[in-house]
Amino acid sequence: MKDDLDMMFSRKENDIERISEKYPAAGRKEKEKIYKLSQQKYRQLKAAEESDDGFTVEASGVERYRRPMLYRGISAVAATMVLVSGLAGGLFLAKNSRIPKVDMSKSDNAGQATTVTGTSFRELDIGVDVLVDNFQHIMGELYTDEADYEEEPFLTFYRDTVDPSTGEMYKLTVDYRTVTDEKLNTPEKVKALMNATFAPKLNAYYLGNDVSGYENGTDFRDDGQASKYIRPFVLYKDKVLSDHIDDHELSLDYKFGEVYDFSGYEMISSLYTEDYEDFSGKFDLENTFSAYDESDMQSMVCNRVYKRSDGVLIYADFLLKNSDGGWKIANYSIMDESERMLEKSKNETEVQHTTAAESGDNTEFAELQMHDMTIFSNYEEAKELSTRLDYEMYDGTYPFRKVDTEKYTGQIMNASGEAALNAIENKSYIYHIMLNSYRYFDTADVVFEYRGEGDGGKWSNTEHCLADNRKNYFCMDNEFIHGTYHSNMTFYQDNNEWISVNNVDKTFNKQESDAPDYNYVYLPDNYRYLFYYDTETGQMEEYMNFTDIPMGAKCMDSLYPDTRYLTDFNDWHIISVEEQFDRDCAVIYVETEDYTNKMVVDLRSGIVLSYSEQNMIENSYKEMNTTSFKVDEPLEHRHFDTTGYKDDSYETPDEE
Amino acid sequence: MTEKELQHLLKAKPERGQRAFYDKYFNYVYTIVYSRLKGCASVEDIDECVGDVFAQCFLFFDKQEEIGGNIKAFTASVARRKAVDTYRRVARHTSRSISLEEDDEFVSEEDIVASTEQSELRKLLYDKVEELGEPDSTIIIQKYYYGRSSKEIAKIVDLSSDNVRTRCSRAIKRLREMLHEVGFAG
Repeated sequence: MKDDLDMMFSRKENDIERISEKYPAAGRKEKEKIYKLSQQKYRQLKAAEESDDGFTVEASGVERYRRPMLYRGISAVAATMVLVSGLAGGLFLAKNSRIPKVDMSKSDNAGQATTVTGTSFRELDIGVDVLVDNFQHIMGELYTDEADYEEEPFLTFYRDTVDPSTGEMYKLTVDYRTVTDEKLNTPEKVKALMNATFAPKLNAYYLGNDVSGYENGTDFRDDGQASKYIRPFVLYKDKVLSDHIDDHELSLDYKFGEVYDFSGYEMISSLYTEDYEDFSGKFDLENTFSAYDESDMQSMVCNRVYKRSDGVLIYADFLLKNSDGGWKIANYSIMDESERMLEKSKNETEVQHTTAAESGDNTEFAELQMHDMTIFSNYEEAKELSTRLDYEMYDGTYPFRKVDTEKYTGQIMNASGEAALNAIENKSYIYHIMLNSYRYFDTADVVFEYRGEGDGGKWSNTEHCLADNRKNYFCMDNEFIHGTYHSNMTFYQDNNEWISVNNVDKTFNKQESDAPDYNYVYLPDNYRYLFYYDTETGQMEEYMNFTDIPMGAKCMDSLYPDTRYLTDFNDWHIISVEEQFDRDCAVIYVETEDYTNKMVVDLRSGIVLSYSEQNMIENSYKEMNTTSFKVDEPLEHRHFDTTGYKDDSYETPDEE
Repeated sequence: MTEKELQHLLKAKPERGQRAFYDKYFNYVYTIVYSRLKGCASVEDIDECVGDVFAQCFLFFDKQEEIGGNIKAFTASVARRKAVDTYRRVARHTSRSISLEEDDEFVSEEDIVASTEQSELRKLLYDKVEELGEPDSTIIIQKYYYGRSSKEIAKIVDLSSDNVRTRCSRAIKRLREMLHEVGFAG
């Protein structure tokens, strides 16, 4: 039957018509993603056409340049990067003054060093791939199933250890077996691979000293130096021995060798940051292996997200240190989605408890994020983060909490002087409250009046909006007059039911929408707009925005403001403060080469109460004023009565 | 929203007009593009192509002093053209041969008879799929027309992927029974 069906669902024209009329072609997320893509492509096409006509030729160098936020400070490091991989002999490690070219072809050549060098993140990514492969290979040897061992224990030692469940010390029996893996079976090979993969402390953690001088059965419990010898791998009379771990669950990194399979995962994103000081990894090596000082080494963090074949995301964070001329793994943390959620909620609880203890009643508010544009050096890098955020915004990675509106409203209303008014904190707050207005007011009953003029002549529009954000309810009466054209529409949204009513020809259109509940969908402000530099033109372009404007993108000028023109803080400033409808408001002015807008913004809800906008590209002017304003008051929901209206829900354009 | 309202909105408020146009024609454009690129292009290529179609339409609307004519026919034409462009690009990168007869296959007399029978069967099939009711109809169409996985379908119909799998197998069974009842022994 399956084959029959595959064959019969054809691409004939009438099938296409029928299917596209009756069934959704894609999920909401995919549809929104393609819409953003369309907008981006449209802007590029438009810019290219105007440039061809000579109308909008921008002088090169005019573009304000910012270093990509996520990569700031790393570029210089990457420029001198030397990654060492494969079966490195160690000879080249100290001789990096002349950096060889990228050459991955030697990686399988036993005994030779493969040196990966590069100046781009793409090359850095390749290098980290090699590190992860090496690491997995090493761990794979350590966590081989017992059944795979052919030989009895080759050596047995004893040492003290702490039972993590009770905290008590007990005698640990450590059985070592001979390593037969071809990449690890000689002291030279294991040292080379370990040196190429791990920073000194982690290297010392995994590879112990030569134990040739000790007899089988030696009890190291009274030996203070035992930790130097009894490590997962040891060297013994030209052999390499590996520890056989009986209880994998007790081991810090058993999942790396036994559960995770990075070579079989799809990599979703790979980002590099300099947030290494707060890195929280599996190992606490800070105060151990003190013979190795890593404090002066250059460091960075690589945050990767992989997707398993069953769709589960794996979050892998690596602390990398530049040791002996190459980046090495100094620590790591790997979790799947559910583990990460658990960890985050645990951390949040801890933070809340800590804050509560320190500052009493100040725990209900989130910290305001200071604004920083997220700009990537190229399209691909923007795409990687975007793909990752697309998952994270729906999976609770970034839970939303309100910032302290009273604090910032007071701060802005009482600011003395232009500089204080335009402090980054105040501007970040206004950006935040506008971007998240949906989350800052519960109900609204407002009337907005718009007037505009453009190539198509003058028009006017009146919108009476009823919004109940917490209950996913929205209703808007919209009267639009443009020359002789007059429309009178009402839109109703009640959760997933959407009704569009034409009050002139008495028809209505009813649809089911799978719009998400935005109360549970959130990304931090600085991730909402992603930009990149077009490598061909050098121009900064918007890659994607996650503005998640709810209510079907209705009231984008007022209740749920479109913040596109505010993302670059150089383009706008706070002029003054004033009161409208007894609300504390900021007056802001946006100015770019082809666009100006003066807006009055309610500081506690983010709603725009009035504006006057000039768009030079579209040669249009429009203004908006609020004539009635009730916010966070009890709201009675209006519902559509179909009496006297014709249902044209399945009307196609040709049938009108 | 009627065509006239859309035409006015596209000129008076271009941004909103574009959004309304997109909402109205997304399914149609996606289905045209998908039907032509199915099996030879990746999901990303299809998404890119649909993006190209809308970008091209937006630009076209910008240039018109007044938007008239049959928007749907125009949109379909842009979609078909862009799908061919994408097919050529993908084929070039994958060293596939390009069939220039994509839309105009030679049809013999026997083919016409067979095609008519197929056409009747398809109509029957779609009728029966529709009779399954929601969300089963959508699940079947997503699985067999768009080739989506249960996980992808789950996001569209707001069910768990396990639930989608179960419903899908039951729906197929029911569909088979319904088709047998009307004499289709496929």
